Amino acid sequence: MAVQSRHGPPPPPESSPCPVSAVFTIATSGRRRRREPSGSLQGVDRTGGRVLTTDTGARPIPHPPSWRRMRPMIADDREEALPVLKVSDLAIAPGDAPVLKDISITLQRGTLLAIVGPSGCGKTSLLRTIAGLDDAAAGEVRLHDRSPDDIGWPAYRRVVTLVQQQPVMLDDTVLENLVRPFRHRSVSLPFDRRLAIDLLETLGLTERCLGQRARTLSVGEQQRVALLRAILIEPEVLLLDEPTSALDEESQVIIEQVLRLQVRRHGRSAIVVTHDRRQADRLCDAQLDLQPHVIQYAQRRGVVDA
Amino acid sequence: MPDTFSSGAIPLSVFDLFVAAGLVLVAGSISLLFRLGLERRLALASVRTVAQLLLVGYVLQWVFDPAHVLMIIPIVVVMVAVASRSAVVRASRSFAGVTWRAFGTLVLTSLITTVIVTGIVIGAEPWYGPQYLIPLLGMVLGNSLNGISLCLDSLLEYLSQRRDEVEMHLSLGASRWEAARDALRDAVRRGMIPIINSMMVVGIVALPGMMTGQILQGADPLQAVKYQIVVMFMIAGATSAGCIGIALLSYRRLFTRRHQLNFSAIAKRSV
Repeated sequence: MAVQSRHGPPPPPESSPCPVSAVFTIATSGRRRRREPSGSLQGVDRTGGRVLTTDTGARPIPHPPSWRRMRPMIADDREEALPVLKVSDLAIAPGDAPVLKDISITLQRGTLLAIVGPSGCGKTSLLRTIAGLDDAAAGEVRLHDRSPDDIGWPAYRRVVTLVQQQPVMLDDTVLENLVRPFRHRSVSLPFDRRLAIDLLETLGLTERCLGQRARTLSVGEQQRVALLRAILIEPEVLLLDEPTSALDEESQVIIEQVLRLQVRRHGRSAIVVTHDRRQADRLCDAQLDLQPHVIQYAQRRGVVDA
Repeated sequence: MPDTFSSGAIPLSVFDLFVAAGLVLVAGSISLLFRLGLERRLALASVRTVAQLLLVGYVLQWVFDPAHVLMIIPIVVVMVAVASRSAVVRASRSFAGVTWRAFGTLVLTSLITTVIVTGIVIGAEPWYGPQYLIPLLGMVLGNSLNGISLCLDSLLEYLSQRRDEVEMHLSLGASRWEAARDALRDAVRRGMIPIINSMMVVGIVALPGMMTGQILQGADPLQAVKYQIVVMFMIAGATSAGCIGIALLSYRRLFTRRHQLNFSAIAKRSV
């Protein structure tokens, strides 16, 4: 089954929360997908078909001209059609007890995917596994159809960047926290102080806080600095673990705006783990509900056949 | 005992040892008087001191006999093995294979340092002469194992307490080396602090035991000082090499080729 959005010309960029013509392929069960080569949809479309185009067929949907004007970085449709990140048949078993299985995600450029599910179901583990901090029990992750083993894991993580739920600040100034990743060999950009200050102000913090000791900031502020730190190295895919969990509603809105801007203007993609389904609805092009992938406790213990 | 061992020293009789034991009795009676509850342990410790040292004395007397020169090898192996085991046991965390790594580190650093000193600095003939090799190796191992256990303790504590920080660096594109550098630096630094501290105050706060021994034996203080300088440098060199060695070997074990922190490998030692 292939579902395509039926919508007219795309709304102007600033008013729309999501990119309208993003090709988003989401097949949550790799095995079933292979049996149905025509394509299948298992992702939950909570946006009413307005922004989600789900299609596992080979032919990509061409972008309307306005889309291209909006994102001049995109060179040609062929490059665009390749998924940025492809997760195939991933199974997760931290500490040898399987928790999740058969997770397949195809993330296109400029799209936001929400991962929702009950707490403790393995959302964070999934994100860590995609980032390669933990090994998968089965399946693989490919970036631009290349294995991270070939690209090199630091180079991969520099492009597919995880932001932890608990913001981790070095015991130093905010500026040092922001500059530090630029010392990694895999990050070959120069640090752009102007851009950092701009984004800092967009996130509701002031330039003055650059000189402040990062650990004296509130958790909400630290969470924003952590997000900014990841954005500054210009990754292609942001893996965000509850990016607004420590924030009040106002800051939450700001973060969501910044994320949309990053996705739409800079063509980044993001996988956002959230327990807040309303946020997932508001922010993301598609949602992956982990519930069907959760291996029940009885199964994990071998009481029931998986 | 051959004459060479008692030159200049006043020989001690068994009676002298009993007088010294009286000093321990003072400590014991203080413990009884103030109900410190230490007298049993004190008695056991005193008996162990006597027994262990007498045993070592007889063993050394036997080993120093040129006829038993091959006995050096098992003795050195046992010394290094015991040192590596106790270096590892003292750290509050460990990982599988840590003892072998400590053993390898100590063989490479302490043994080589000691051999350099006996063979080149002191110029003992032969360089494996047990009366030089074994005491010097003992001193080096004793200090090196302290450094190694502090270093290991610091490294493992850093990696488990500050796992989020290490993984944050990894998430932002750090290689395992870049992510581990702070932890490794802290660990090596902490392992080196005791020897640097003692080098700072040597001779001012306390006279080192070896030097005191030589002076008691009637040696020229300047000669004793020269020996002590050699020993201090030898210990410093072996300790720093040992700390770096164990830090690097642990790093290879605790970070995977996929640039992950192998957190689950670190086990907390149940005390």
